[in-house]
Amino acid sequence: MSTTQIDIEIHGGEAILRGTPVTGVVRIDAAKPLKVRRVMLELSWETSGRGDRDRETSLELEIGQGPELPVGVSQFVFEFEAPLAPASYTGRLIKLFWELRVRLDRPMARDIKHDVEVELL
Amino acid sequence: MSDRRVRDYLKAYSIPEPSSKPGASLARELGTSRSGKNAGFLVLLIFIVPLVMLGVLLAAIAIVALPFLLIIPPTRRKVIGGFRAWRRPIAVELSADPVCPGETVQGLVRFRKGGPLSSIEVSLVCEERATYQQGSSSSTATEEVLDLPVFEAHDLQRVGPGDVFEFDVPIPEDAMHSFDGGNNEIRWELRVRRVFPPDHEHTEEFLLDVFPIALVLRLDEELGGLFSDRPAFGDDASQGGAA
Repeated sequence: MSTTQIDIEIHGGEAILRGTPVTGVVRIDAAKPLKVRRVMLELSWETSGRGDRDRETSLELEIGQGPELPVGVSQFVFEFEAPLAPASYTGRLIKLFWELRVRLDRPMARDIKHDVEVELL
Repeated sequence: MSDRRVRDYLKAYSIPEPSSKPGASLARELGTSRSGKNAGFLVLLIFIVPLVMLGVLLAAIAIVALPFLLIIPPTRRKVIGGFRAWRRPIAVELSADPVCPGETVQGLVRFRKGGPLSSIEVSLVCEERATYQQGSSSSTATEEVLDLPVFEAHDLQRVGPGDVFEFDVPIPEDAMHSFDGGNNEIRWELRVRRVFPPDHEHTEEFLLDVFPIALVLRLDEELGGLFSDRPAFGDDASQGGAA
């Protein structure tokens, strides 16, 4: 079981309008000191359904730096402009969905990731 | 539409470049294929000699097989219909391409040559195309998510060269924009079905592109005049919730 809990809060909800500002906060609750190089926020789309998967990352943002996250809750505020990119879509053969991911880039260790699905309108 | 900045925007959206060109009556004449997808032409050219030989062989087989195929009524209708449609090509034009969800644009079918015709039907079609690997081969599944009739004329007898049928094309407000992610595609087209007397039929697809309003506004704002042949949002020819 992971000793690190990550929570992503998007102000205004998980439906994002293209070309508009998006703000929010990432909370990382570490049970023990955690060595990290960077805290990254990534926004990417992916397809699922009948066809082979298509995927693209539209945004990569460094929202925090190491070398260590202390025990307890660390908060990282973020702000970006929602990309002009394909809209979320659910069809019969194709689903296109967006994910906002927090990735803890760790030295000599596997990255820790946490995703939330968002809707790009 | 060759500006690099435009291509960058379209790439970000995974939207293909429109295949249309300036029209004779309305702003844009729709194409039936994407120019970018003909990049394999050079490869074909390299292998032209074996291809020609293969073509000759196939033609010989076709000549032998054609009489048998023509015995089957549905095949006969389509084979002869395809031949007659090829002899009498049509052009399809729209008052704008790309179009936006919620807009209504004008469209027309123009007959380049005259001849007998029983009926014609035009519909706006949105199709999902999903390509997947199955073993060593690649297959594409297609599904129509919208098939909206926009024009039909029956009991015709003949059309003359240059004759035109006009109609409106309403793009649904909740329409998904065109999308080409590589394996997954959302394609918009005007599908024209012609029936030649007595019962030979042919269906042809003409590609159009639906762009998100946000993209068109951004391109107009940053690269002003790019879509100068488009009616401005809110004009008579551009009704609907595109404001």
